[in-house]
Amino acid sequence: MQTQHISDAYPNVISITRIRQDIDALTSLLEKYPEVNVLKGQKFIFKVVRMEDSQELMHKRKAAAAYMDTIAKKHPNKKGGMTATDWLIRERDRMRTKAYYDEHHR
Amino acid sequence: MTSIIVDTSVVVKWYAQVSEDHVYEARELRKRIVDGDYSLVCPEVIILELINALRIGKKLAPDECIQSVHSFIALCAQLAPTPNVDAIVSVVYQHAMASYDAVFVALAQERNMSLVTADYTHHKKSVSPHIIWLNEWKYTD
Repeated sequence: MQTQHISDAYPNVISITRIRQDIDALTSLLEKYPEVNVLKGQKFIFKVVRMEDSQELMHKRKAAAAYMDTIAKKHPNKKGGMTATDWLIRERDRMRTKAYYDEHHR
Repeated sequence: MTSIIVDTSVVVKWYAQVSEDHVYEARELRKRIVDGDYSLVCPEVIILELINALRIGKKLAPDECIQSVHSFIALCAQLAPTPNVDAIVSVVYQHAMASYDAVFVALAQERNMSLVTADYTHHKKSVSPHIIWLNEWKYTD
């Protein structure tokens, strides 16, 4: 069986060792791709993005958080009602039981 | 930048009013992610659980649910594929946990990352040293 290096299959991947040897290898990849994944051994350890993309990402994250706050204002919890977290925990409890599976897999 | 895993029980608090328990801490954590102090990593299955929680737990309309899930994805640096099966099964059997909850713990163990949770019932601290309860979470550099 032929083996293939991960960077052959995924061109926007680079090893941390390669960066240590030659930082230009990373900058030339960033000229071609908006983001580059960095590997240590077989594990992805971080992602490098261009500075301008980084600022755009932060802008997107701020907009996302603002939308979440809008939903929070628009859908307040009813007094004494179950919160979404409480609901989630209750569902997880139910999913542990055989009764749940009997109910859903008849 | 530190990478961190957040459980669905924390994510749903990002859509809740501050009067709810520990929403202040949840928002502080979110702010750290927005500012880039933390890099958010979550298992892909979180999307399915989040949709259920927003539809039934939060009673959002379909368009709001879609946009809410996209807003969550915008905060994620990575939606991680299912971790090692052996690790998930081990957590499930050792702690009598549903496989969906165990995925979060297994991912935290696999990547040696903290898992912040507000599900104090299922994510007991005895399950894994990687578990941090939201009510005890504090930002550290």
